[in-house]
Amino acid sequence: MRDLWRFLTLMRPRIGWVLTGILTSLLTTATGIVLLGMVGGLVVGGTLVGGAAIAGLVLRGLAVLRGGGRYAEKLSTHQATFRVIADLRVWFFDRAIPLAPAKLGGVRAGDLLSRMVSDIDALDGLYQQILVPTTVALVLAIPVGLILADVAPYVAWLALGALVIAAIVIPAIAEACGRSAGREQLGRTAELRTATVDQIQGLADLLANQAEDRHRAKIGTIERAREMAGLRAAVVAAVSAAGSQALGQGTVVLVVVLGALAIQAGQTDLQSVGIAAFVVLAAFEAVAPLPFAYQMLGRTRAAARRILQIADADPAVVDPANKQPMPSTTTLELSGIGFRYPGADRPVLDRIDLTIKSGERVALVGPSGSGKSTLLSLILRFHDPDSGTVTLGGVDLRALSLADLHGRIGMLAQTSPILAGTLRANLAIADPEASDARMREVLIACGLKRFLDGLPSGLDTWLGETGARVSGGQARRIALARVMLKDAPILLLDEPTEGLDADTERALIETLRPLVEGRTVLIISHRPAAATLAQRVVRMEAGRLAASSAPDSDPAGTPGSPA
Amino acid sequence: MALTLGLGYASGLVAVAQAWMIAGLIAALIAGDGLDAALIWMAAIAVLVRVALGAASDVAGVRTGQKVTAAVRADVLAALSALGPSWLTERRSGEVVSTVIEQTDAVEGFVSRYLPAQKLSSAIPLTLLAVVLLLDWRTGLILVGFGIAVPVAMGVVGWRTAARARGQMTAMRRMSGYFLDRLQNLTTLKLFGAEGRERAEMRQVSDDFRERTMSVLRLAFLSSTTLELLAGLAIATVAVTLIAGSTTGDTGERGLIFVILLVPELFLPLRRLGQFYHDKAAAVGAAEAILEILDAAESVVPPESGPIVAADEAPALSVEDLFLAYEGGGRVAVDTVSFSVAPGEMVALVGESGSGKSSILDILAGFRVGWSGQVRIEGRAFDPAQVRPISARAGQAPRILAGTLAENLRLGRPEATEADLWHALEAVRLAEFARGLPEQLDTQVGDGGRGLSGGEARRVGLARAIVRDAKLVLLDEPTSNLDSRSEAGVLAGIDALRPGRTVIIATHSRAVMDRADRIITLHQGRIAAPDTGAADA
Repeated sequence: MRDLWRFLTLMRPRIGWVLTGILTSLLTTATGIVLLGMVGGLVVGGTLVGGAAIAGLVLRGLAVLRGGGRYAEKLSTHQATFRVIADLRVWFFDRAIPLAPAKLGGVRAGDLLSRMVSDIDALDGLYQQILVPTTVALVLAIPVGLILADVAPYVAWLALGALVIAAIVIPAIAEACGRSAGREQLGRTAELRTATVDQIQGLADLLANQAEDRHRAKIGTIERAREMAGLRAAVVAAVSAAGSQALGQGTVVLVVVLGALAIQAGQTDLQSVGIAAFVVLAAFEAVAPLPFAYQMLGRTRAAARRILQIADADPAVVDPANKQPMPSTTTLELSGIGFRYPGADRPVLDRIDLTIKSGERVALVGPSGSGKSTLLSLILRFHDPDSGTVTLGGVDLRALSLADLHGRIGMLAQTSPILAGTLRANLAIADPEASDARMREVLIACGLKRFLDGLPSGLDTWLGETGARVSGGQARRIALARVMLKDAPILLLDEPTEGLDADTERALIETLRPLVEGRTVLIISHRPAAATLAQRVVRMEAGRLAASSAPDSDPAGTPGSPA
Repeated sequence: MALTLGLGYASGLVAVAQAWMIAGLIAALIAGDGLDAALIWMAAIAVLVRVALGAASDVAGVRTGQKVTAAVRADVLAALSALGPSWLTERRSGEVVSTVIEQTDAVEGFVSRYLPAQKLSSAIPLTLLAVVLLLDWRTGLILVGFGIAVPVAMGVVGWRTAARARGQMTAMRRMSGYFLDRLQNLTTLKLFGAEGRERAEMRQVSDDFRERTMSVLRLAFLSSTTLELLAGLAIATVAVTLIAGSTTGDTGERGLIFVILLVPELFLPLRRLGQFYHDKAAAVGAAEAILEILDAAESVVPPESGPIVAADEAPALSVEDLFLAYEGGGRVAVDTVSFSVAPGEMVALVGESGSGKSSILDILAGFRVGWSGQVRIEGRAFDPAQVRPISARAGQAPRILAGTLAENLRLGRPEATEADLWHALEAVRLAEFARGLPEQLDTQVGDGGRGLSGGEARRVGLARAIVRDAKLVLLDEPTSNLDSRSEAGVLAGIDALRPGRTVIIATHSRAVMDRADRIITLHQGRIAAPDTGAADA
């Protein structure tokens, strides 16, 4: 329940809409009760004060009022709900960002999407189906009780008792019975989404391995499990709704019978009984949606938990409370670094000491798995080291703001993530204000002139998701162009020339040579040509730094810069 | 569906009996005749029977809806497979995922709620109207008047719903596509400090979806309100008219109350229809995206299945005049390329990035549509998709599926033994890595290869091809992104794979070229130096 309370407090910025929804719902339901009460009095009593003509006018007026009220209620409660939900999506995104990449490793992107789309959607019932009708039921219980007490106190207590059962007991039972079905529905939906993302993004591998129909069968199995959970939920909803309905109609009959007895005893008159019967009818109509809503509560709570799992996760690194100003120099110093991934049995980095002076270019070489990329992730402060310190310009990274730190670093990662969007949108991530001319200049500097000339719509050409419409080499160079556009004083290059043929590699190295000049650079590469960009080569073996040397002589014949 | 309708209709009929009994009770009460115990019990039983029938009808409706939904989803997934990877690369996968999940789910509400409500909204009111007409024709005529207003009002409200619902579903797909892409690239966004801008974009995309949803709901609410209003007015009018008429005494007391009780029942199915109107709107909106996929797949001619060449020997392969232009752009990716590969031969396709190597391999794997030319195996022309039973492929970015490492390795041959898997891992030098995993082969991996580095994922992809043990092997840059030590391991893997197989490799690697029997160099989609004899250069 505490989880749901959190989400109620998150509604505070939309309090205006939230209260409007509750108020219109209250007024509309009250109008409905008065309307039916009058009908009851009219039917049984024969006339009302002022005669049938006026009564007819009042009745029609109330009917119109109730209709309009119902419309206003639906509009305002839905406005409130959807505004809150849009807020929650942005809030969730805000919460997820600090977790990347260290804390999101175990969560599949498809699953994350499920949390952000369907789990947040599942919270829509919280306000609209639970908070609003529950409040209305509680508030209206008193006037309804007073009207009923007019017949006889015991009729009032009896009808109120039945209402309590319909509004509280049956919903509580529905909630208990629907809980596991709801949770399972949600979990299966996330599974279905993960498998569907695999099916769509992995279709090439599935087809080539003739595994496509098997994977579809797997999706079918998940679908059937989800159906069964859905059916269980539907049975709980139908039975509890039927129970509440039967109770309502039974109570009406009972009120009539007891009313008759009260009339015989001379305690009340016919008209009061008629009014009471119809008021009970209207009151039950008001609580009718509650069993269904509470049956969904299990699902809503499971959704809330899944959302909070991400939103409340502790990031691996946090901004310091007292941020130090950014140092003016860019000397990177790693001293005594030890690091072990959570759950791993041995450290990936062990007593690493490495200094990259401001303006120095260092190449880090070594077999894969030796810890090179981990070292980069410590410089980016994706993780904090278990022991030792990483400093920039003499200041511990842990004392700097993450945004400031990342603002100083241009990082070319091993994968070249191309966002679904145009070439321009991909470059604008680095610098939203960059002019077309500047973008072209950088693209050409990264060896993409012919690619750019061949694009049907130039910078506005759609690149396709994960760069599906560009080749591996082109994607890498677009990613490089993005880094260059950022124009940061520190460059981290993780295998910058992988996937490029020898000629292109040579050309790219020559393109990079002036670009890396004057910056503080750390290059990870096993290719001799890339290492020639560095002034110093450091070898890494199994988490330890080995020898440091001048770059090997370049096979292409370009002399390496002296160390 | 018939069950849902039958139960729903029966529930409506029981309502008539129930109203008759309650009317009897009230009439006796008014007349001061006291209570008839039998009538009370019968009324109670009618109540129970009625709600039970209603509940059963609801559940039966849900089951029908689920079945239809599952069938639609299966059709959509099958259509996506028929369309293939090249069709999907033109789209955001998050949008397609949304079509497969949310939009297909919209079918369930339509089938389980809206359709039965629609059918019952004419059957039950008409039946009840007949009863009322028999008892009191004037009230009947009033109801006929209101009844005629119903479809008119619905039509006026509904005429713009379809367009708005499509807008809503488009916004939903856009949102899903955008979210998935950004969630997959959180780290990149963070590195470039683009969170703030993406946040604004996210707010805008979410708000757009909210506004479009509300624009549909406004219409849906209008229709349900109109129906509620008509129902309310009808009840009030009938009540007032009857009370006025009752003084003339031409309807019995019980008949009068009966008719008044029947009027809300008569409008109940119509009110339900109004409540479920948004289910229809959602389905109409979703239909567009679903049909786009199903229609597109219609034009794909499924390859003839049936026996192709024997799968136990390395086949000869030749291509003639392969030609492929990128969709829309007019840029030519593969320009009249012809070459042949002898059984057991290993051919390297080389050329600068974007020269068409990968496109040729994609055509051979059956992933491309809209190409022309011929692919021949042992001299016979085939649709490349037909060649899949005898071929294996490892691409530039193998997808590691959600599941265990073993499941991923067995993708192409589910019956492979554990020894086969270790052999393949050994060949790509991942055995040590796998032995270091917490649950070895049973370790969960997946979702974009998270948990595995790019190089590890690449080698798992190659190991998959080794496990598959097919006689025609297509490899797309198997060694890029590997350090030299691992590259040597992969090369050993290729050496192990090679005997008795026909291999086509797209590569930049000198070491791979050195191993090839022949090199075909591509330049801007054409063969630059056809059939260079030697592998060295």
